[in-house]
Amino acid sequence: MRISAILLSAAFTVATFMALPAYAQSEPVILTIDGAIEGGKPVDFTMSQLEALGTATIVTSTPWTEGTPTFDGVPMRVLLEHVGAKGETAEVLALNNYQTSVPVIDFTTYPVILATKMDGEYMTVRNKGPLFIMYPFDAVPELQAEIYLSRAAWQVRTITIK
Amino acid sequence: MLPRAWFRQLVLVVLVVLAIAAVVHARAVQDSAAAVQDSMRFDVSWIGAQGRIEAGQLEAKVALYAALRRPQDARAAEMFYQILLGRLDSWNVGGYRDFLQASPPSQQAYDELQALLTSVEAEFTDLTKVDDMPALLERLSPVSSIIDRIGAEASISAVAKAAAIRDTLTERQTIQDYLVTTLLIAAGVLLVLTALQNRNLRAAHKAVQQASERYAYSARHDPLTGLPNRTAFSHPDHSLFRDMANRRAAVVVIDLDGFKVVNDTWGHIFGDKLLTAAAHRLRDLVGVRPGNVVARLGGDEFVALLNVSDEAEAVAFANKIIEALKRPFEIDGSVTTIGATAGVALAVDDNWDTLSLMADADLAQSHTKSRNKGTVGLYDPGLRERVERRLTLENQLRTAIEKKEIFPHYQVQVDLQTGALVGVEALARWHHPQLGLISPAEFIPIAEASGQIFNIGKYMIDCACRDALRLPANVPVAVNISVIQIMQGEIMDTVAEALMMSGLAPQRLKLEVTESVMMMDRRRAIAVLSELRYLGVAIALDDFGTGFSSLSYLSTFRWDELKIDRSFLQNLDTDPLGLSIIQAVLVLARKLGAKVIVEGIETDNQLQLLKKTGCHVGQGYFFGRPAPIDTVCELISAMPPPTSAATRRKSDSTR
Repeated sequence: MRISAILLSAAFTVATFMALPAYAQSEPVILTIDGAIEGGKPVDFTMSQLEALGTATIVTSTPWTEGTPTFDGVPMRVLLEHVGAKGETAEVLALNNYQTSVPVIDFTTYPVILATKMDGEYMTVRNKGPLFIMYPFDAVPELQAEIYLSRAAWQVRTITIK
Repeated sequence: MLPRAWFRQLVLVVLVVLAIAAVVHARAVQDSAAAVQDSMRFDVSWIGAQGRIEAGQLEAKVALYAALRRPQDARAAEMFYQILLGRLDSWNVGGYRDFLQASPPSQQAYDELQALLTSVEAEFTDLTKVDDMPALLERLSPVSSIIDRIGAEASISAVAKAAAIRDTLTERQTIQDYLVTTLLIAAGVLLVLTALQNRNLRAAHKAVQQASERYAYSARHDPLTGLPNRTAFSHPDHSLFRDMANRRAAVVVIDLDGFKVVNDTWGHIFGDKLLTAAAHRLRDLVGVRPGNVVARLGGDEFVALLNVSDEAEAVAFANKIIEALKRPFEIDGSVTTIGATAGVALAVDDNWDTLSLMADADLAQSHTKSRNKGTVGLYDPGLRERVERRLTLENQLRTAIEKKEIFPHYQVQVDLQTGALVGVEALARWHHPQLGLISPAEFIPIAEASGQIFNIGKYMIDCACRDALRLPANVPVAVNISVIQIMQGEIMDTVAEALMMSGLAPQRLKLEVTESVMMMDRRRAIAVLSELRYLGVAIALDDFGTGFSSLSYLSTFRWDELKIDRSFLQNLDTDPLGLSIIQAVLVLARKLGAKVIVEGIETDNQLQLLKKTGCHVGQGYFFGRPAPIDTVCELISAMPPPTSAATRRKSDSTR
């Protein structure tokens, strides 16, 4: 089961690399995952490659947004499984150089997503895009603490697995 | 001791205090939690700091592009412009907006920054088209200082907020301190109250225990003598007997003799003192061996449980008890003597039961008391049978007369010289449907004890008078009467009525009484007998020579006849002494003017010996056994008729 999942994800990765030249010029890389992952080499993602992994939705208020927006994005658990992450911590670096460190266990404990859309729209850099780590703050009150708020990084660019 | 009402009120107060403390504590915790939440959510200075970094990045990228003119630096500067705009947007929501609205200098700075960034929007659409980069740098130069102004304000606000939160927390802390103190005091008060209450409870418990011990003691002890009572005695410690090899349990029931007389003569107080003294004597005597118990059954009855090796030891011990009780008691300066009768019952094995042993011993005691007062009687299974038979007879005696189960048999009395009939004696017979023929020796004492003797006596006299009419003229009929009948005095009416109803001449009726009649109330006995004799009825002294044999009563009453007891005839053949006594009685009787009848003649040899002594009249199996009147009538018809000599002798002797 586990072996077949790894093989499947490996096959996916190969397919992605093979397909890469065709999209390289039209779609920019928005996310790079490196560190302790399958194959040891950094993996780049475009928006469509990310969305191809499947998405989930979180509806929640945050201290930085008005009302209760709907966030769509790739579950972090799925994303890290996809790259075969082997570490316990995800070091997140944002475009604005904001750095935060998220324990990987957060992604299996809570349905955390790497949001690509807010209220159905892709997020611009000005609007905390293009990627925003989102916890279900409203659904899980224990998350409404500084430690989790600091992990909800926006304008995410690189994730390093350690 | 704390009064109950006070205790309740105190407990109530403590409960109310605790309830208030609980509510205050809950609110304090809630407030504290809210304050902590506050401190985490709206750390405005933190968001401000990020903005300061982003502004720095923007300036750095723009400067880098201005210096090197590399396109990637332009893209980076454009991105940081967007990031900074995004930062400004995020300052316009939630807690940061609240802060801005509350702080006019910050709001002014924010608006200024917004205006500044908006003014360079065109340049940042595509930075590569801007020629005068130094001018753009110059325009952007206030950004950082504006953000610093906001940051400073935010910092002051955050510090103030933190101080407020700290104050709240400190305040709550103080409240909680008070609460803890209150709780400790309440706990202390409760502890003290509990201790007091415990002391009360302990005292109450002790009182109850003492009372229950007192009740338990009085439930198991006789208040007068202090001995265990019947209840306590019924549950002895069996293990004391089981643990000792070859030991058996014996129960001795002791009844004081003559206590009632002492009680009636000297009064109850004296009687109670005597009982107590007797109890102490018993206790000292019986309590010498483990397992031995002495108890008071009630009245003047005591019971002892003894630990003995055999029957002989039990009886010896019982005798020791009797002897001890016979020793004089000195009470209030006067000396009193009483006796005691004991009954002993022994357990046959280890599975004995006190109550049944006690019942056996009691039976032995009452049996002994009725026969040999002042001695020790040992229970045997036959005793119970006898007593049960006695009970059965006593119960059925009443109806036995009605059912004609009791009726007279007659035995002839003959002239020893001529063999002629001189009289008959009526003897009561009870033919019991189940038990068969019952001897008068057995049922007459029962009838005397139960009072049935009057009915039986009257019936016997009635029958005898009626049946006598069927006998040859001048043949008298003798009927035995009981001492009790004489003492009650009803015998006069019974005899008079029987004679009148039957029409029998009084001279033909003879009443036989035993020596014991003179033992009771001699004066009264003589009065009644004299009255009967005045009627014309003859009075015979039965069983002469047995019992107490005081000769004095021979002189106080004019007996018509002396009946020599059959016991004198038993060894007549070999023992000349018996014959000598008979001869002496004959001499005595002649002086007194009384006739002599010898009872129990069974052999011809006896008859010949008696003939020689000059005895006149005899009766016994040799002449005929007691039989119903019809049979006797037939027997009589075969006998020589009464001679004139016999009649003459009779008239001589009665003179």
